[in-house]
Amino acid sequence: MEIQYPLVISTVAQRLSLGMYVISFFCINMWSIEINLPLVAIISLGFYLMGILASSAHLGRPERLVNSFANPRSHLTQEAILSPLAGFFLFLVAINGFNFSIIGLGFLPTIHLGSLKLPVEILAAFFCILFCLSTGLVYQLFARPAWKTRMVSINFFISFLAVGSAGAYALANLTGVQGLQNLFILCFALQLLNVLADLYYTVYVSRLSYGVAVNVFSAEFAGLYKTWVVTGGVIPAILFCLAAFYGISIWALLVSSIIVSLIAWQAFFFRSGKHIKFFPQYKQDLKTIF
Amino acid sequence: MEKKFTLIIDLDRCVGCMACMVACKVVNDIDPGVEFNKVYKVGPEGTFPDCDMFFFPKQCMHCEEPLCAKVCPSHATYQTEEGVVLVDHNKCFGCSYCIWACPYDARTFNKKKGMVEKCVLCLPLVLKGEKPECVKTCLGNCRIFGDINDPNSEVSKYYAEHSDRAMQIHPKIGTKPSVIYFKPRKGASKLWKSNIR
Repeated sequence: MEIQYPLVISTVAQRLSLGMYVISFFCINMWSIEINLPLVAIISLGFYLMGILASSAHLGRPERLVNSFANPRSHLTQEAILSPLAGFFLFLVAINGFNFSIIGLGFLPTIHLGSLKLPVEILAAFFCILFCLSTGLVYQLFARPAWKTRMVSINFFISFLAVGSAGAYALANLTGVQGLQNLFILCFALQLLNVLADLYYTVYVSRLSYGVAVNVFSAEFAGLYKTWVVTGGVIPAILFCLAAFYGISIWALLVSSIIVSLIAWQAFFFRSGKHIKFFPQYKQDLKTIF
Repeated sequence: MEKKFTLIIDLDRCVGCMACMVACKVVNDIDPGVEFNKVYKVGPEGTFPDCDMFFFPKQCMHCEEPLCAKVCPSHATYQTEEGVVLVDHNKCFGCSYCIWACPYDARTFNKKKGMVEKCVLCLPLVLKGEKPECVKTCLGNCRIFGDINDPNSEVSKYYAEHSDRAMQIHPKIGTKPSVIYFKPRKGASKLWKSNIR
């Protein structure tokens, strides 16, 4: 099994986009931070569609994509069903009060959701979360020792929140939103949690049985793993310290670093899942066989 | 009782000639880079005369509880009444999810066709009353095929005679493979360190 780079790109783009929306929605309703949610939804939709296009690029027969809805018991079908739902509600949030003349479609009326605004925003967040959970479950496969753990979907969900918070923090800074202390602390806490969860997973894969255990310092994994350590741990730690102690906020570098770390991690994750347990490579198999 | 096709592979008899691989390629007209059936060499390990080696043919296990069929989002992977696991090429859209889900690494993505392919147990031949081509070609007679539910079949008799050596690959996963291996009677005790390449 090769690293599926279209899937690396798609899952990172989807986590960034949907996570950014969910965290922004949370910040607005929890701490009254004045983030422009329709703008977040528009940018999220852009990344989300990019993710879907990247995902379809890995298919052998993308023209048959509609076939993916046939088996509701499959996590891939569940993901396929949730995908348009998340996109649809994000779209509704995006068009709420949007001035179409900005994009040369001035003939379209401005749409206001009115009393439906909050339910639609909640549903969008709900489907974004469900979609990310289902994507995490897609990779939690019994056949691959490195993926045969709940940590796969837990890590996936934590990284969705972490990269989402970094994206929301960057976008809020970009649009000049004030009072981002709570969002900054949330971003720091989630990235810390993300790193800890990934480290836990590293320990898990290093303890797998003979032939499938992952040594992150071996030539096969070292490059990707070191990239993850630097961009997911070292650089964010420096940037968080600069922001916390010296008031220097380099948010563009922070979000870029976290995105690169997620790409490196996802590629590492694919490579670690390549090895499968197989007769007669293992001590314990031979004990039962011979 | 329903028919249940079973393939026994007796590792004690395999001489590693790879005729099964070639026959499979020819009969099924398999594209380059796609493998339905592959023979691995395990070992040699140790120093003469205390050394071990054997061959290990591997293919789709045609599981009773196939994980590939369970995860397939398009229902392209399905089971026939006889328990043969097949891929419907009109439904497969090449997502490769079944390749990830297969614990036996028995499926290949055919880049040319844009879909997943695997051993079909030569079902068209079998339904005509013949045996799969790998079975017919095997020089060492290490492959025994037939209906395990028929007590008079060759496969049932062979199984009854040698069942002490029978094993399934990864029984804990619970896929219940229809391909049953018979352990080699000697050797391999030192081979746990050898990777299959």
